Amino acid sequence: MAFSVLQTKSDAHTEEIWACTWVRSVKTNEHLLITGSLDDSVKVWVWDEDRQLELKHTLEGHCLGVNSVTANAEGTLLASSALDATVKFWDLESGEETNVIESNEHHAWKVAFSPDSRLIAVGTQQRKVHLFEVESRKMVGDLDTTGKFIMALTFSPNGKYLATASIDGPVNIYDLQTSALLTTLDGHAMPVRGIAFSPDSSMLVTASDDKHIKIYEVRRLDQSTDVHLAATLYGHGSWVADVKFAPDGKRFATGSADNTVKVWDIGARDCLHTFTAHSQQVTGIAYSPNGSRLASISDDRSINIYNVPV
Amino acid sequence: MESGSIEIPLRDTDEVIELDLNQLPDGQETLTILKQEKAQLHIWVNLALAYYRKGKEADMVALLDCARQGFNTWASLDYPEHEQDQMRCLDTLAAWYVREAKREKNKDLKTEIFTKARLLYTAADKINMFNQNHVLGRAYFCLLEGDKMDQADAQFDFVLNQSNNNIPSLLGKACIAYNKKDYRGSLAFYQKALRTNPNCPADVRLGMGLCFFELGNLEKARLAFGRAIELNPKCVGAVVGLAILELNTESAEGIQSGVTILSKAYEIDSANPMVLNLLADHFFFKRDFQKTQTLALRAFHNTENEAIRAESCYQLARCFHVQEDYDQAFQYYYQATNFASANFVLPHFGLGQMYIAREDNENAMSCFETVLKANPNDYETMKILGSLYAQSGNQNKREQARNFLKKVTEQFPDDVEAWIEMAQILEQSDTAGALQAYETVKSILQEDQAEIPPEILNNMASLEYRLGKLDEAKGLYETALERCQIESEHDENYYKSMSVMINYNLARVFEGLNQLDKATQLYKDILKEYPNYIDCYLRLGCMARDLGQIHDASVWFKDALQVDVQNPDCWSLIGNLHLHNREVGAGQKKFEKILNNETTKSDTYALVALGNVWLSTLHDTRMDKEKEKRYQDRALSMYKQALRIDPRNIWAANGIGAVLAHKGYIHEALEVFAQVREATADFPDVWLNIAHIYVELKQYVWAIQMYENCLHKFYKYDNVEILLYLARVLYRSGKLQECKKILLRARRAVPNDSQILYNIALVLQRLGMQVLKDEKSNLRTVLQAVSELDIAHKFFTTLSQTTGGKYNPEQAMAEARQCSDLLNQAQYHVARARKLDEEEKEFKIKQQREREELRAKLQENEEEEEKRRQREREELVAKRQQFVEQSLHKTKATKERKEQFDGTKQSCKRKRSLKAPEGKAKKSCRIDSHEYD
Repeated sequence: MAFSVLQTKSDAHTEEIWACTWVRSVKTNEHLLITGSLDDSVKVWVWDEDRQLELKHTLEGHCLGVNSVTANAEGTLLASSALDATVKFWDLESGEETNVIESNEHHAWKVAFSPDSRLIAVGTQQRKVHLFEVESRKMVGDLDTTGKFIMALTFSPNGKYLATASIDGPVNIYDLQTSALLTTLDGHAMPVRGIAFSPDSSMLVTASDDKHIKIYEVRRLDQSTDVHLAATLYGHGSWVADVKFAPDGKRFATGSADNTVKVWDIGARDCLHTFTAHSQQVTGIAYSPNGSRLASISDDRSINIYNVPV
Repeated sequence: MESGSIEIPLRDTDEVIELDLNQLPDGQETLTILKQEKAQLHIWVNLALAYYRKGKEADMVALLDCARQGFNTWASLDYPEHEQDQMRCLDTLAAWYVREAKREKNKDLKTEIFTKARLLYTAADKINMFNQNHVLGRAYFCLLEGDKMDQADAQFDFVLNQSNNNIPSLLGKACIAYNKKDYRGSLAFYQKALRTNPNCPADVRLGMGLCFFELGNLEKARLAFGRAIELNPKCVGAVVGLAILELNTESAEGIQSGVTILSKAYEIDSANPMVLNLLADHFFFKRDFQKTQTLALRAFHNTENEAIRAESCYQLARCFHVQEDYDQAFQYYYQATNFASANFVLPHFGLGQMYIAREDNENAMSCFETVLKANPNDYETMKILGSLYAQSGNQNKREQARNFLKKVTEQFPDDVEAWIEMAQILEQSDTAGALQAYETVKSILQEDQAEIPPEILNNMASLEYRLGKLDEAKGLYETALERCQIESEHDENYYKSMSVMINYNLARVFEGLNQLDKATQLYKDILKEYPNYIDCYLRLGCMARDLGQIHDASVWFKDALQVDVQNPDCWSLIGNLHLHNREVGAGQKKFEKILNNETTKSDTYALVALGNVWLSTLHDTRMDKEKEKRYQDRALSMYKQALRIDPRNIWAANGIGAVLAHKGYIHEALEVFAQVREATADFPDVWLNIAHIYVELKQYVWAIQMYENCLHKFYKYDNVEILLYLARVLYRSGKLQECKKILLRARRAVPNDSQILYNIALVLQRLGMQVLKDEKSNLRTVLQAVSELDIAHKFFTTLSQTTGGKYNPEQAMAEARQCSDLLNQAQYHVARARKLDEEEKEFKIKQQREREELRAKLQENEEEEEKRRQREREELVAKRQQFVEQSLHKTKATKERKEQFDGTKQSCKRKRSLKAPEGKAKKSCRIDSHEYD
């Protein structure tokens, strides 16, 4: 099957959609697509190949727009952050709010679950990353970055590293064991809104407002902090807002303010396909856990589900 | 030849001296004898004529002059017909002077001789004005003096009235008609002269030949010229005529025989300017320019005739023209145009070309306009004029250029050159049309199995690029490069440099396709070979700049300066980098540097940029009225200067609008902005300015629409500047909810901007206040407002503790306090709202209960009613039974009709009243239910 649009869910939210993540619940075995929007709501959708997207929960409680959603690996717990500077936890099965972290002084911006679901990282305005233990909701770590505002952050799938992207371009990689800053990649001079490790943690891809995507070789990070820039990919006509790896690690996808979603081949370092189904800027993307489906969200308030051949 | 001798009677005797006309003595001798013997005037005249016939013109003049001066002293008038001889004497002498004057080249001398002739004619006038020969003489005099053709014509008419076959008059009139281009009339006169005297001289045949020639009857012309040559083998005019007829056949043999005939003419009269010009023309085509020059020059010096001189100059000019001596060519073309008659436009054509070589398009245009006036459908001229008009700054001219080329392409749809010109004109105004024209070029070439030149491919690609069709542009550029590769064996340097240009263009396409790696590679490749290709440095710098790599950008720009330290574009780009980094002073200096340089002082970009610097300083800093006015005026003068240099500079116009707005001339500013937007819709600043004006005019709906359109049209991403404008106008127009959303979008784009955070907090506070003030706000809204107020309070508190933002921390603190005050009051509002909410809930419950009760009651009533109705129905049936019985009884009882009538009435009434209770019962039931409410 070729690249195609499987579903366009129009008016999925009443305002611009800002955040999304895709996870499979080990409890219910459901494919859950979770979206957060300027309309203050978080929506949990069930993706079924036949029935397509169905709304499971509408999670209410945030103010000022939901900016980031992240789920644990088991697909049972969701963390969300909004411009009201709070982080909320939700039970994905019941849709109940289970806890909240207020961070008014620090302005939590983006949240990320660690691969072992034990920790949650919160990037804040004061150039800090707070690490909370999910179980106890206690802060267990505090990384002080050298950069400015943290626009994006992600754990490496092997659990060794945390990468943060700053609003003025530099990307920092930390050793989670020692909390030491391993390296700073300064390939971009404009905000970096998306970063993603490859599933084998050997590569880091960054997406920036400078329209570019950069691929860094980070396999030998434990031996040398001298990181090799493997490629710069060109093709988007505006800000690149998000980047996500396919689970097989051979491809990754990007979403851009040029209204497109692109799928790239990591080996050929070339764009394989460009989706143009959105009418306004694309703000986020998410691969299905099996890698055969890709979701994108947009300012046009719709969700698109694509078939992406593996 | 007349009789052989003339006798001069000797004075006072009967003797005579007989002079043999074939052996005339010396003129002086004769003169002496005549004077001595006071011979009768007719003898003087006849002898003078005899000398003339012998070619002794000086003697003739001497005799006639002496006779004229000595009427009655030396020449006796003592005989009856002496007046006639007096006339002959004067007229003959005058005619001779006229002929002399015609030959004389020196202008002053010529005038002098003409004066002599005029005096003689005037003297003759006094004797007999109407003497036929005298009138004829005068007529010729008029003809030769020029510009008196009508006078001459009248005089010929006068003579013809007296004797209608007067040959000199007929010939004169023929000549006049010919000059007036009335060839048919001219021919008629010649023919009449010929009928009158079949032995007319060769010149009559020549005249006829010329008439036939002009009338296009070439065969008859040929015959006439032939006859003239038969009559007079030395009739150069006829020989030339024949030669031209041959040459005009334009066949090889024709030209051959034409040239042979011409050389005959040259043998007869090597000074004849027409012959010389024709030979010059011949040698021009033989590319023997030296000979052409010599011949044409001789022709020029041998004639007074301006048309012939024009021809000579033209021959000389084009000799120099082909030899690329454009200065000389220019001078001769110029002279030729001065001499040329209106329909000899070739020199104008040449002169036009010279003006083009001198890049003087204005004068060139007027030359070609002259040519086109004479030949309105000459397509070569239309093409050139089209091309000239196309370069003109005048819109009308460009329009005309389009018309010309349209005509040409319609007339010659296969003229590739014309289509290319057409395309080039359209390039300026109609991109799609230009592309269409090039497509035509392409298909014509393909039909001819010709390759499409890389130039054309390049131009087509550029047009596609302009239309945003980047993939098409890329394909065309790549094909063009291939063509260059193949063609380069013909002219390596030319195609090499073209490849470089095409590569540069291709790089621009890659930039457009966001394939910056390929673009970068191409630019760098070009620079490797051509380190002076300054545009490559500039593009590399711009790309770095757009990536936010300001330092790299400035390094590239500095590299460019190594190539050309005065490059205004480069200095402008550096200036802009400074402005971007908020280094206003440094930026300003760069633009001033451009304007202080003699060669770049009229750089409009720098002028506008400098204007913008003054204007933005005006925005960013507070200043007193005086200073403000000074800055406004500085900005204005920059913009005005730019507009003077380039009247279509929309950026300058936009700047003027901005200054006007600043000075408070809001409507005038709007007018200017509207005009700019009419000129181009692709200029976001003017959209924003129009929106700003709408804000000033409090036309918020329009302003909002304008900002939104601008955002959608020009920026796909969240352009924070515009979002903040939009938020501002939404705030002003009281649309706080929408304002909040827009500010949140802005915050998401630049989360580290504390001012946006401040504004969000402010809007939340205002929204909260609004909600709390409104007594009717429901609990949900109030609770949301309270939680948002809480957030606002926290934001303000955080902001008041941080410094360095574009807000006042104390103000933030004050706002935080305001929030906390509101939050304190909020408990009351929450309580109120909750109470209201509870009341409402209670009320709702009560209402619900009441409704239930009511429904139950209603149902009960309904049932009761139904029972009653049932009862009534039964009663009614019973009553009816009773009534029927009663009425039956009544009819039986009463006999009178009236009573019967009344009875029926009554029964009717009763019938009605019987129905009534049904309705009433229902009504009362309803009233009951109301009471329950």
